[in-house]
Amino acid sequence: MEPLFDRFGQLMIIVMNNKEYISRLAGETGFSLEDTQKLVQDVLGAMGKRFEDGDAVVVPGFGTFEIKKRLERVMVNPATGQRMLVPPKLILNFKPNAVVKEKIRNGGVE
Amino acid sequence: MTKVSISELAAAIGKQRKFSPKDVEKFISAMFGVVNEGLSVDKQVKVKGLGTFKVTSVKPRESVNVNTGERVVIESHDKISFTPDAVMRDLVNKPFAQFETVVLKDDVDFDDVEHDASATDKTDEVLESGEKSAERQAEKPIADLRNDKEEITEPEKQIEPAEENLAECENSIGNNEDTSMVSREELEEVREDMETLMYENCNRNRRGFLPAIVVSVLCFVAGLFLGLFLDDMFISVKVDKSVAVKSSPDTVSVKKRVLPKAVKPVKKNVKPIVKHKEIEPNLERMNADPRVRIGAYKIVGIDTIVTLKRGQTMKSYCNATLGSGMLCYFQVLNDTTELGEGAKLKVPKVKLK
Repeated sequence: MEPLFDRFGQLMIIVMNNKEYISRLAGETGFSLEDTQKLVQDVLGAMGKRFEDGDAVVVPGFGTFEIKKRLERVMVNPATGQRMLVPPKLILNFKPNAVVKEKIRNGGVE
Repeated sequence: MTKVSISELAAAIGKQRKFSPKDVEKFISAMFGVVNEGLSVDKQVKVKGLGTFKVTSVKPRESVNVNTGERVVIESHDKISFTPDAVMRDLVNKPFAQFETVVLKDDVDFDDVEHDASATDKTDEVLESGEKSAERQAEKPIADLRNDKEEITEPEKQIEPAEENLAECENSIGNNEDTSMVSREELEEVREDMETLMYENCNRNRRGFLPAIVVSVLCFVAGLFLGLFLDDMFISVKVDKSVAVKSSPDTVSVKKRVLPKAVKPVKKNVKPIVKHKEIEPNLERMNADPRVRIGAYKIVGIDTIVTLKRGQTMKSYCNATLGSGMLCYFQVLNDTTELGEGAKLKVPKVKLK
């Protein structure tokens, strides 16, 4: 995939937003934009169902999405000194695959 | 808490949308392939409904090798950070959604609250264990009841042989520590059980709120009564057992055969204490030494005492036996930085913290 440049030769995309993401995915898979969007939503819905059961989803060649529990804690507002009790939460955590991690780690040196 | 592969997801979606599961699997891997490529070209990829993947750089920082206490520099590098979408975040956090952040008033003394909480935790655990056994007993026929009770009293049995061994070497300090270690292990087990129970309760709540509440309240009440009842049982059984152990060694061996796993750790703990009870009081002081405190291990006793041969030093002996990073444990135990030929060297028995 080539990086896109605008007419001044500046790198145009720094943030790939959802629109751009869907259009690239559509180009790659051969589905129409609408179908791609629908399919992506289906996949994410299926993943969400798994997360509700507390399961982890493993994507080969990319990484693992898993649910982690954050314990409750007392937070202090440094400005006012006010203390708040933050409730426990379940959060979605992404752990990149070792290969991907290494690639990003080395690719980032500029 | 199982791991789900994308092929399982693909099968579910394929059924729903009448695609072949293989195509869907290809689509999913393309989906994340695009994110992957996007990350290597751009710095950020946003996927609606899932979240944002971002490449962030980490500054170089210093760290300490926990084994040796050496300073290590971790160089700057890039890593992927993932922030879930608001939709996905709320979906995942649904079981805990009813909790809100509470502002604490100034006069709330939190140290006290924390102590109280831990105290009530313990009573909860006791109740919880009673509750569990109540559930178990309710499921089983009455004939099994006796077995169950024996299972419950097993922890008591574990402690008894240990106490006997220790009584022989007249080490009351070790005795106390040992029993407390065993009971702590039990407590931790119970806590784990409790957590899984709570988690299951959470899941249940999502499906049928009312029946779950009714069942759990019933269980709690039953557990309360049973807990009180069993408490009395414990005491009477404990007395019986200790008498039996002392009078007939045969019963001890029988019990060991019944619970080989449970008895083993207790025995292990007893050994070093029996051998070197004289250093007991010093252990705490040694483990408080900064060289030991920052390390990954702690000294639990003296393994052996050796006499250094010709050309041997404490350092070379250490490198040959425990490894190069472990010299500090020798130094602390022998209370000197180096020992030469002919000296008596105490070899520490260490345990991972």
